[in-house]
Formats: sequence, C-alpha cells, structure tokens
Amino acid sequence: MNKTLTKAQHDKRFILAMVAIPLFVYLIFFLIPCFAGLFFGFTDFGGYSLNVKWVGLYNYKKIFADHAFRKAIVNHLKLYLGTVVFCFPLAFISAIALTRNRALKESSFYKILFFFPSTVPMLIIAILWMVMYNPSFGVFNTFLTAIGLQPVQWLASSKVVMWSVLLIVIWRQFGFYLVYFMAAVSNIPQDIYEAAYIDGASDVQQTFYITVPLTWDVITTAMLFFIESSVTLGFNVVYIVTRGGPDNASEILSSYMFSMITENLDYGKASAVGAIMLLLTLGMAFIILKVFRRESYEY
Amino acid sequence: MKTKAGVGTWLTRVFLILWTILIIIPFAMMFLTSAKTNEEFYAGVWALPKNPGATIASNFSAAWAKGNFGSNFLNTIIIVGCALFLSLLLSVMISYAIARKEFKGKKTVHTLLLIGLLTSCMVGLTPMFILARFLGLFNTRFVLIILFAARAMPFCCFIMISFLKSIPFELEEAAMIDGASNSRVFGQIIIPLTRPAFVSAGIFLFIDYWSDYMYGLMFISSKSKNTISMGMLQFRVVSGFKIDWGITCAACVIFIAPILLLYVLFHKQVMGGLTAGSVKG
Repeated sequence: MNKTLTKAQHDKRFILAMVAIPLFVYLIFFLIPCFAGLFFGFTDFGGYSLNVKWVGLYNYKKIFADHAFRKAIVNHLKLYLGTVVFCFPLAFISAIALTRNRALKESSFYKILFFFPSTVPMLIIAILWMVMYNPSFGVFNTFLTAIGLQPVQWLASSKVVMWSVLLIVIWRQFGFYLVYFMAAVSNIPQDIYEAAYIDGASDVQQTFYITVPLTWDVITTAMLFFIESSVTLGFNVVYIVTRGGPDNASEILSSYMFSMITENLDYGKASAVGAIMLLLTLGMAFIILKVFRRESYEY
Repeated sequence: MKTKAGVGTWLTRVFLILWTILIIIPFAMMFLTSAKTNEEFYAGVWALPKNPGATIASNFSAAWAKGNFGSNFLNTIIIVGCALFLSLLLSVMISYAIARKEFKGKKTVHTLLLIGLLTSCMVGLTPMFILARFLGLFNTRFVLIILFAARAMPFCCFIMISFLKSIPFELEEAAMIDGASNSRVFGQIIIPLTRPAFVSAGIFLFIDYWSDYMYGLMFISSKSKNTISMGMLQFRVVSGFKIDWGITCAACVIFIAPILLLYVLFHKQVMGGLTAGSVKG
C-alpha cells in the first residue's frame, strides 16, 4: 500500500471496502434478481436460450386471463390476513397471560414447546400434517367420527382446503409470535401497571391502554415481516401438501409461479407472476407503514 | 400482576393445554411410526409397535438409502458451513460501516438492506436462474453458497446493526489512539464483541439453510450435489403411490435430529435468534 496516504485516506479506503464488497454480493445475488423479474416479465425467456425476445404485456395478459392466477392472488391475501387476524391476537393474548399472570407457573414450558414447530423444516411439517388430515386414518377425522360427527375432506374439498392450509401456518407460527410478543410485553416497566392498578384500571383496560399501545411498534413490525414469511411458508405448505389442488382451490402466487417454472418451463410468465408478487408485497408493506404505524411511545 | 389463579387463569390454561396437545400429536406420531412397519401403521395409527428394535433398524437403514442421506449430509455440511461463514462475514462488514462509520450514501445502503427484508427470494428465482447460467455457475455448490449468503444478509444486518450501535465507542477510540489500524480494530475488537449477534444470526441461518430445498431444486441438477432437504423430497407424499409411512417417518426423524438437538441444548438462544428484533432498541 502507498505509504504517503494520509490517515483520512486510509479510513476512506477501509470503509469503501467494508461497504462495497458485501453490497456487491447482496445486489448481484439477491436484490437485483428480485427486481429484474419486473423486466423478464416482458420477455419470452424459456429457460435455455439466453436470446430473449420482448413480448410486451403478453405474459401479463395471459396470466390475468387465467382463473387459477386470480384465485392465487385472493388466496395469497387470505393466507396473510387469516394469520394476522387469527394467529396474532391469539398469540398476543397468550403472551400477556404468560408474562403477566404469575399463577401460570408452567409458562416457560409452554413457551419452549410452542416455539419448537417454527424451527422445524416445513418439509417435515407438511408430511406430518398430511397424516393429520388424511380422510381415513387422520387424527382429525378419527376424532370427529369418535364424537359422532361427519368426517371432513380436509384437503380434497375446495371449500375447506384453504382453511386447512391456514391451520398449518398458524400451527407453526403461533409459538413464534408468542415468544416475539412475550419479549415485547415483558419489556414494559412494571410501575406503569402498578400506577394504573392504583388508579383502578381493570385487566382489560390495562391491556388496551398500556400493553397494546406500548407494543404497537412490535406488532406492526411483526405484520411487516410476516408479509415475507407468508410467501415462503405458504409456498411450502401448498407445494407439498395440496399441490394447489383441488382444482386450483389452494393455489397461491408463489406455488403458481413455481409450477410455471418446473412444469411449463415458462420463465417469462413466471417472472410476470413474480413481479406481481413483488408489487403486492411492497404495496402491503406500504399500507402497513402508512396506516398502522403510529408515533411510538417512549418509556 | 396476578399471583392467584382465577377463572381467567383456568380458561387460559385450558387453551394452552389444548394447544400443547395439538403440538405434540404430529411429533409423537412421527416417532411412534418410525418404529412401525407399514402394515402396523395402517392397522392402527396410535397402536404401539410390535417389534420396535428390528423395525427401527430396517426403517432407518431403508430411509437412509432412499434419501441418499450419506452424500447429502456431506453436501449440506459444506454448503451450510460456507454459506454461514460468508454471510456472517459480509454482514458484519457492512453492518459495522453502517452502525459506526460515516460515509456518503449510507442511508441508501441501509434502505436497500431494509427492502431486502420485505422481499421474498421467490420473486427473484427466474433472474437468479438466468444469472447462474450466464456465469456458468449452474449446478455448482458455489452458487447455492453465494445465493444463500446474499439472501440472509438483510436479516443478519438487521440484527448486527442494532447490536453494533450498542457497543460503546470508547473501546475503538482507545485502540485507535494506541495506533491500531482500522482492520485490527475490526478484527480484534469489533468481531469478538459481536459474538452474541453472531450466535443469534447464525442459529437463524442454520435452520433456514438446513430446511431450504427451493434453491436446491432450482440450481442443482445432479444427484451427487443434492442437499439433505432435497433428499427429503424423495419422501414427499404423492397421491396415487403407496407410501411406506414407517420409512417416511424414519427419514423425518433423521432430518429433524440435528435441529431437535440444537433446540434441546440451546432453546434460549434459538428463540432469541429467531425473534431477534422484537426487543426495542
């Protein structure tokens, strides 16, 4: 290295190397490909020849004309909203109960057990849940017939199948969000609750006026991150358990796109789906940031 | 804070116990079935195995062969190991610059990383495939390593930046005054201090890489380079085919074993790693 460089120049070179090398890898192998889908969606790339032709909006017209694609968009949103609506409140209430209710002495047992599924590869969860859902020997139908109810076609009925998919995702994520919210709830200083208690605030009031506002940041952050995880989780469940069926009833965007690649080798259309997925994701993130984010409270 | 058990406590407890059962059932069934033959499984899902010793041996050896676990284990160890190292190294470099140094365009770089947090790697599969073919990296272990490393960077940086911001600046300044170079400060002071963040991020990445089969399906075409999760795909249940549940569950047990072990030994760190970012700061 040049010895006449000053200290400031050394610093500058050092920082440049520290930023440029990781940034290069990150952009080339992750971020640019993700956004390049916006471009390839306008081409007829078939997976082999790199000699691609510009086809304009052709791919987009084709996928929007496909009823399976429209179903996939609706299911994609259903999966996200279903988890946020059912799993988050359940996990949040349980988190409050497990952190603030000293009478539940076994709380760390629940925490450790419930969290475990979120470390288990989706591949295994999917295989195990296929047994749970099996119409003849599955756990649910065995239980239903034992108490005298009609067995349900968990995966073969187009009305039920999305709920079955949703249940797997909730089953896996419940413990994750429980622990996530518990960390936030236990961070709230005890004296705030004590002051509220002295002022006569009930448990419910304490929850809505203290716990929820003070953890709102964490809740919205979880909503934000789940946009991304719902894509991957949903894909794993749909790709292995239902394969999009029956009759595309459980197709979601990511599984639709993946089958476009592996079955039809239609990379152009797959990119178009990917681009729609990306725009949808960023749109959802924007809505959450604009509508749900309030000013955060310092404590 | 309540200390006495009231009606509310019991209602909560009922829900928690029901959920406990729902969590345990699939795993209990997995372990139980891995010790049974297929006939025994169909005779009764919850019946106890008749001849566990011999069946376990035959199920596990059949699963090991069918999933090609021997060579897949080796591939996975190489790929996961290298990807972990690369990803953590790149992340700590850029996080250090963002958290503790001033440079032009810092905000843009930070925003680019945050966008990555919200972007699923699935939307980039096609362009990544083109890139891999273009660079001649298709069907190499290297492409998986670098793609895994790049994909994990937003999350790692998210953990590391907040962690690095919490380290007092005096340590660095003192070392600088003593004449230590930038790279020495980074290598001998910052990296050792960042160890907790490495553990959190590393656990998350390990589980993520271990489970991933999508990149494998996309970028690997020869069987000898398959990862363990791609071997697991052999056991995917395809309707119309007769499934040997004993062998399938044995494969699940093999696949899950390292993660189960990690969880039993380090559940605190695993929970911390996966939910990092939930704590204010």
